[in-house]
Amino acid sequence: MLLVAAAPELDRHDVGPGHPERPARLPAALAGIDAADLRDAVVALDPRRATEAELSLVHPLPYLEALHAFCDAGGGALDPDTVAVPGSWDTALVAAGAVLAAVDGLAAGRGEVAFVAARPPGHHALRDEPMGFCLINNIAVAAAALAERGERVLVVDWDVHHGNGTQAIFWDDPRVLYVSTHQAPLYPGTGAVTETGGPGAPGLTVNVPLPSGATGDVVLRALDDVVAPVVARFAPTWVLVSAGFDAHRADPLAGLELTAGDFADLARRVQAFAPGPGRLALVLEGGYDLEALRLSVGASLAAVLDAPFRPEAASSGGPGIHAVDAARRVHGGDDGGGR
Amino acid sequence: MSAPRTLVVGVDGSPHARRALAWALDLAGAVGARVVAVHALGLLAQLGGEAVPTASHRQELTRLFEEQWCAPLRDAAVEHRTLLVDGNPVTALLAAAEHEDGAVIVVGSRGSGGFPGLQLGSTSHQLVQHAHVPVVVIPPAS
Repeated sequence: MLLVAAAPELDRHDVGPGHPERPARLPAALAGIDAADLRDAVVALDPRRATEAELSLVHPLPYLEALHAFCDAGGGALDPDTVAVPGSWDTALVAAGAVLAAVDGLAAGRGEVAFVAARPPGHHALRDEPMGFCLINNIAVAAAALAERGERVLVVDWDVHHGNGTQAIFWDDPRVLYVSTHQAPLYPGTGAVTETGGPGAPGLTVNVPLPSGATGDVVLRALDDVVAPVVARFAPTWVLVSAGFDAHRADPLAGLELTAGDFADLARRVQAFAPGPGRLALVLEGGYDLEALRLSVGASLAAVLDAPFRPEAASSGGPGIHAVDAARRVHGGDDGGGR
Repeated sequence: MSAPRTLVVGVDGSPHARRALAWALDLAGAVGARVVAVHALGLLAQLGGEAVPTASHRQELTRLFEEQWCAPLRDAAVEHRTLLVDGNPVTALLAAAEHEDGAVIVVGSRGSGGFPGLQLGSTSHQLVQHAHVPVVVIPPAS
């Protein structure tokens, strides 16, 4: 069964016309489930709000209080990209709560895989700083909760932008392995291949920065050649995916060339990193072309549920193999290295 | 106190950024300082419109930054450097101040946005909260 944590009816984070991170993204993502004819497999999870205690595993209370107060005071521009409105605080609590609900639903054995369609996204949010459309680091809140329970958490971030917030939060945490494939140079400017983790977690940050124009075969090669050996050594008990779909070729914010078929292949590869059924959650991050989002979500979920929906063929032939090779050298190839 | 040797200025083509750059150039000319002009390419900066591919838009922003926004640097007889980086402006300006040995950070203020008194808000307010060097905020024109 597919657990779905989504509450578009509670979405009050509308920062105005023209902003690409917009409420219409959620219906578009959820439409992918119908497009893939997966409706009968869905178990809809009840929405809930993350508590202050749950958020504080990642974000200091003064930050949460300031963000809450900022929204209550009417909101405004937090940086040139990131805007909050009065409804943003509650929407952010629902988004973080959705990831927690997904993890708890899986832990309770209610499904094989979970999909979280929530916004605003989270992976740029630092412990005490919003940025890049992100207020609360949703996936980090769930990863931290799992780590507190003694789990070993793999976070795979295939959003086209580097998840600087998630990386920073778990930089020195040996309980969490953070892996990112992303376009570079591109916002936020972090995610160099040489960023491999702090002294407490050496080798537990894996970055594969890819050039503009990179195609799906290159990202798959990164997962197979660079990431898989590190994952095998880490032996995760949970896999969370920062599933941004802005690496799709139609996305207006970036320049990678992936297709819905590529996301299906990525999802299957990442599913193989999980220790078994019920330990994989896909969490929406970016993805700003609504049709690409619909097709890519549908293809990804179909892939992990062995359903046939694959509306676009995989892409290949783009640049970036040299970047994969560089990352493989940094992380020790197939014969050791890492931690 | 000795005169500052390097001034770090945020530029983005806006009127308030032009005022900040002009102020920094006046000071730099008076005391013999160099100026480092910084622009941070944010997420929305990548959004060039439907007809403009991202890579081309990035090139266009680079051209604007070098040829137009930083033009006053070339017109002034002041040692300078230009930095175009990916990220948000606060992080970019703080990093530039650190790596370029900046003595002062100069930014313009729109005169709106942000909520003084909170840890969150405008670029200038966040800079004041986090910078290890003095921050000069040039107010709106009127």
